[in-house]
Order: sequence, then C-alpha cells, then structure tokens
Amino acid sequence: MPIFRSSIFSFDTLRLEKARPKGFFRALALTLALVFVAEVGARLLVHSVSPYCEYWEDESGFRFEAYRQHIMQGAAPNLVIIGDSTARFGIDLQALRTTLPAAVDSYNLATPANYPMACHCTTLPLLNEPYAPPKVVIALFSPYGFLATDKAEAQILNSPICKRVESPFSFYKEMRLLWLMRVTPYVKNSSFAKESLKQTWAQRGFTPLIEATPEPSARNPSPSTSLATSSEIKVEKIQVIRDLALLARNRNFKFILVIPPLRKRDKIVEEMVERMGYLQDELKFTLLDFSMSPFLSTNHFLDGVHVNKDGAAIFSQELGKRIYTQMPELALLK
Amino acid sequence: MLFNSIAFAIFLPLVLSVYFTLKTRAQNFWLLLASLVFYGWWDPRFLLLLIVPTVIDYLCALQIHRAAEPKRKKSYLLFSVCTNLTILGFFKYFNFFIGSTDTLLNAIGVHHALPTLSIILPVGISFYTFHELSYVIDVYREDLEPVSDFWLYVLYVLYFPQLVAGPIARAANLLPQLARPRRVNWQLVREGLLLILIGFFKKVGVADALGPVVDFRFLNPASCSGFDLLVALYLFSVQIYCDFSGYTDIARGVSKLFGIELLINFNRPYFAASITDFWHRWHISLSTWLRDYLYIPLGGNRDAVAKTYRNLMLTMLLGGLWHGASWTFVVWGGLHGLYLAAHKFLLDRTPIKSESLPTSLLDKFVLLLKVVATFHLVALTWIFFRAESFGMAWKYLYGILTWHPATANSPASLLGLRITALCVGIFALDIAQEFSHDEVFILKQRWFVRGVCYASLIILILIFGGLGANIPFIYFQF
Repeated sequence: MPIFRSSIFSFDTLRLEKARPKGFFRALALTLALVFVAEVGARLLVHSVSPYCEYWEDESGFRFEAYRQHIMQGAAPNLVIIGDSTARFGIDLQALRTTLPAAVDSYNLATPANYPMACHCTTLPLLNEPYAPPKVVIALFSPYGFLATDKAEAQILNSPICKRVESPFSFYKEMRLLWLMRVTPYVKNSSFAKESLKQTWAQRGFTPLIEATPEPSARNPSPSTSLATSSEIKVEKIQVIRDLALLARNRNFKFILVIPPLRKRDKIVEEMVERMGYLQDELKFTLLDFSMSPFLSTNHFLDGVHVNKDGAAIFSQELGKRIYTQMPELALLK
Repeated sequence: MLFNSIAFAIFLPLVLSVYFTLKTRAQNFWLLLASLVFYGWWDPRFLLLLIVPTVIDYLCALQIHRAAEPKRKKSYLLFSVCTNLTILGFFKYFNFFIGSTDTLLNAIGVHHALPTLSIILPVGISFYTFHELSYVIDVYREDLEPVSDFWLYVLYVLYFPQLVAGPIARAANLLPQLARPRRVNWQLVREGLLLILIGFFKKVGVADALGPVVDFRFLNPASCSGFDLLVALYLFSVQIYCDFSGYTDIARGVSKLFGIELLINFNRPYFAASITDFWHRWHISLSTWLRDYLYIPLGGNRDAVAKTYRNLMLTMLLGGLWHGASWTFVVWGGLHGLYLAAHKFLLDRTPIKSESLPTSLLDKFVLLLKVVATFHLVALTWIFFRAESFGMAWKYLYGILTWHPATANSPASLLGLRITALCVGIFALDIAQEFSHDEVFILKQRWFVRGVCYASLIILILIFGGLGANIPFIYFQF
C-alpha cells in the first residue's frame, strides 16, 4: 500500500482508545430507559386527543379537542360560535341562552388569535366530514384580523395544528417519536392542568373572562388611530368566509356572520362590511352588523374591538334576539 | 444558524465527522468553511462585512509589530480601531445618534426631521468587533506576537461556536489552541456533551418557556397586578441568565468536542454577594474586556478617588451602550456604574476582612442577605434592559411600586406548575454547581445518579420547555 505522506487526512485528533469512563454506557442506558418510561406515560396521558393537541395555546387545545371528542360520538350542539377573541370574549353563552329556546344547545369554539387563516385550519375541519354538523354556526372576527399577516399571526400559522391542515403529511410531525412534547398542554399551566376535556365541554367552551388574556396589541388597534388603507384587506382571508358559507350550503347548516361591536367604526370596518355584503348577496348567508351598537357605551369596551364582561352580556342578549328573529324555527328544536 | 435549530443538529455531526479525519491545518480550513456556512446561513451578504475588518486588522497588527517608531505603531492602531468602531457605529448606532440628535434639536426648538436609514444589524457585530480589537490592542501593547498565518487569524475571528454571542475571545487563549494539534479524549467528549445538554436545558427548557409570559408583562404592564410584574421581573432575570449562559454553555460544549477550550463566561452570577462579585461572575469575557481595554487605560483605580469613580461610571455607561443602541441600555449601564461606585465607596470605608468562608450561622445569614440584596439590585436594572422604551420601563416600575391588584383584564397567574418546575430545576442545578465549584459536577456522580440527572434534564426540556418556539438568543441582537 502506498503511503501518502502529504495527505490531509489523519485520525489523531479523536483519542478514545483509553478505557471508557466507568459506567458510561450504564448511565446512557438508564437515561434512555427513563425517557422511555416517561414517553409511555405521556402516550397513556394524551392518547385520547393526540395527534391533535398541538395548538398555539393550551386553552385552544382544550376548547377544540373537547368539542372534537364530543362530536365524534355523533351529535353536535345546535349552535356553535366560531372566530377569534371578539367571539371568545364577546359572547356570554349564559346571556345568549336567556334569549333562545331552552332546547338550543350551544358551544363557544372561538379562541383568541383564531384569525381567519387559523380558523380555516382549526375550525373548518370540525364542521366538515366526518363530524356531525351543528344547526347554526355564528362567526365573529375582528375586521383587523383580515389585514396583512403580522409576526404574531405568522407564529400561529406555524403551529403544528395549522401545518397539519395545510400540509397533510409532514415527516417531522408525523414520524416524530417523542409524544412527551405533546403532554405540555396538560401540565404547562396549573389552571388547565386541573381541567379535563369533559369539564371544558361541560362549560360549553366558556371560560370566565377573568382568565382571559387579550391578544397582542398589534391586533387590537384603536380604530381612531388606525391608518390602514383598504388595500390592506387580504383576499385570501376573505376567502375563508366564502369557504365557510360554501361549507354551510353543502352541510346544510345556517351560517351567520357577525361584525362584532367596535368602539369606533373606521374605513377598514366600512370596507369589510361592504365586502361582506357583496359576499352575502352571492352566497346567501346571514350578515349581522353590530359594529355600531347603540346599546353599548365606551365603558363596555376593553379596547377598540373587545367588549368587557358587562358588554359581552348585553351584546350576547342582543345577538340572541336577532338570531331568534332570523330563525324562528329554533323554537321547534327539542 | 441557531444552536437550537434542526439545521445545527445536522450541521454539527457533519462538521465533527469530517474534522476528526483531518490533519491540523486541514482541520482549520474545514473549521473556517464551517464557520462561514454557520454565519452565512443567516445572510451571506454580511460575510463581506466580517471579512473586510478582519483583513484590515490582520495587516494592521503585522504593521504594528514591524514598525519601529511608536508614532507609527500608534497610527496603525488608531486606523484599526477607527475602522472597527466606524463599522460598528454605522450599523449599530447610526439611527440611534440621528434619533437622539433629532430629539435634542426638537427640544431646543429646531424642528427639522433628520433622515434615518433602514439598516439591518449584522448578527454578533459587537462580539466580533471586540474579538478583533483585543487582538490588535494586545499586539500594540506587545502582550502578543501577531500571527503570520492569515487563515489562522481569520479562523480566530470567525470560529463559529463563539462568533455571534461570545464568549468574547482573547487571542492569547484561542490562537495557540488553533495553531497546535488538538486532542479530543473521553473527558472532553463527556464535558462537551454535558455542557451542551445543560445549555439546551437553560435555553430551550427555561429561557424559551419563560420568554412569552415575560414579554407579555413587559409589553402590557398596565394590565398586570404589581405582584405579577414583580414575579415577571424575577422570571426575566432567570430568562436572560438562562438564555445567555445557555448559549455560552452550548458554545463551550461544542468547542470542547473540537478540542478547543473557550473562556468561562458565567459563574452562577445570582449567587454574588455584592455587585462587584456579580461582575466577576456575569458575562466575564465582557467585564474583563472592559476592564483591560477601557477601565485600566482610563486610569483604573491608580489616580485620585474621584477619577476612579469617573472611570467606573464611564466604563459601565459604555458597557451599557455596547449592549444596544438605546438610552435604556445606557441607564442600565449607568445604574451598574453607580452600584459599583457605591460598593467601592463602602469597601474603602470598611475594615478589610479575611476572605474565609462564613462559618457561624450569623455569618451565613448575613451572606444570604447580601446575595438576596444583590439579586434585587440587579433585577431592578433589568427593567431598563428589557423595556422597549423609558416610558414602558417607568410604567413597569410604577406598577410594582404602586402594587395595584389584579383586574378583570389581568392575565392568569404566572406561578403555574410549568414555571415552578423549571425555576426549581435551574435553581437546583446552579446551587449544586455553586457548592461543588464544578460546572460538570454531574460527571463525578455514580452512574445511576448521572442517568437520572440526564433523563431529568431531557424530560424537563421536552415537557415544560419552549421547544418549537425557535426564539433567537437575546444576545444575538447585540
């Protein structure tokens, strides 16, 4: 064999020929064994909801998965509220129920930051096959959620649940062995750790407002200071409303789009209402515009787009009355 | 490239596997290539910005060494320092100075908006500028012989584990290691891997998990209770420590796998019993840099007492400004300067005690009080470090001082199982390191204790950590 003295290769650097440190492999084996045991425990804990429990926020996971577990048994509630934080904080289910017949079963599936694109990933699949459809779906979105995707929304769209829907197969997500990471929502926050999916369902997706965390301020512009122009409304986000309306037609449920109460109506809101009006004419869904709500004062708002607890109760009663007027057949429900 | 990314998980084994098959000089070229890829992964255009001052500093150091006249030596040194500081000043401080001038002009009634530029801050510019400056200054002071091998010098500047967030390398420590053949034995492999694991626990496990909850409080102080803000301040203290020392641990661990030892940068700083002690334990490579290249040249403590205080203040103010182009960082540095000056003032008036460890219960209690007091003084300065602006910092401080209760709009309590578990984990790790005076004390335990420790760190990262958040290291912005 020729010896290449000028070779750049050498195996002198790594010097592991001496005896291994005592117990090196035993420590390694024990580490793997303990991680394995923890993994088995994790699988036992999350087997009922995996692989769906990877949301951007623990509370959303509970809310959506409680709903999924329930409808997998074949029955959906009569009335489902969907959307972002305007629906999550703005709808008081107890107040809403007082204006509707007692037989109308409802569930609030809305969650903070569930903007149109995220809603397309999280909520639409739950209204579609193979799950049972509700009778009525009420959607509320902040008009500012239809503007360009910002950093916060991009992070949400990057969450595993959104990626799962957007790209049905991802090697990293599907083949990943460690389910330990999926336990996080169950232990991350003490208030939710104590809450089971059953409890979440029992509350009909309603969590007291006191625990609410408002969305990042970038998404809650004060209408008076908003300088956004009409061109900032994104067509692909409007498309989500179109998809919802088409899904309602296909699955035979009533779709009601609600423009939520706002402290002040600006150009963006006006353009949104106008665009939704065109869509309503085309797809024949119901549009309820509460952007100017004389029954609410500025004291009923937390910021430009979110009502407080009292505001939520008043708005929910008004909404319930309008829904009942639109759908008197709700009285026939048993 | 981030240490906490999939790309790095592929990159490191690949680089190591080739590295172990090469001779020293080829290894250096391979490391240089790897460093270029590592930095260029973020934005390859900025490699040029890195290369230009590197070439200039290399040539200046050689000229300084060759020049016979002191005046000539000085002119080369000035040229090198000015080049480095001009690049740093333009990319990091241009808009800051324009903004500050604008505010000043407005204040005196001259209303003329000065133009600002949209400049991207190159990652790690403050760190590699200091790497290069220390080399040229050391050569000028004749503390160091300049390297004739250009590529060796380029590797010294670009060596990827310490390139973007330190520890700030000293040529006297790193260059000889890069020049001679390296040997990687079991001890280095074990220490390296353990430091990487500890670093990931600190960064991904603790810092990334605390980041979002802390961010929310610093952005919305008005909607949080005083208690909540205080807890968030403690948590930010933990977050920034874990984020930065975690990066350093990973950097040092990775470097050990290459057979190269980097400088220690953190030594359990929150166990410091005084502010001077804190700066002996926090970001050691920066504090020693500032001491050697700023504080001592200013006169240090050799002149009158008043000058010593002035030097301390100047050093810390500039140290603050080094962190970021904002007055909040200057205030942060200024507060530390004040603390150091006050501590020096007290020390000068207190009889010197022996450095022996406290033995009596009372001494131990006094020591504990000092540690707690130092931690709180440091935590107070973090408000200015973290806040986006002075306004937000005051709001935050006001929220704590007025101790207003939670409102209907307040976020949920911070003290959940997750945060408690992570804080207990990091505290236990630090306390064990502090009492054993050994950062890799786990390696000295029996095999089953080691196994339990490794598994606990991994499980804590996986369950409670901020995996998937992909939050960049805080010090990348500096």
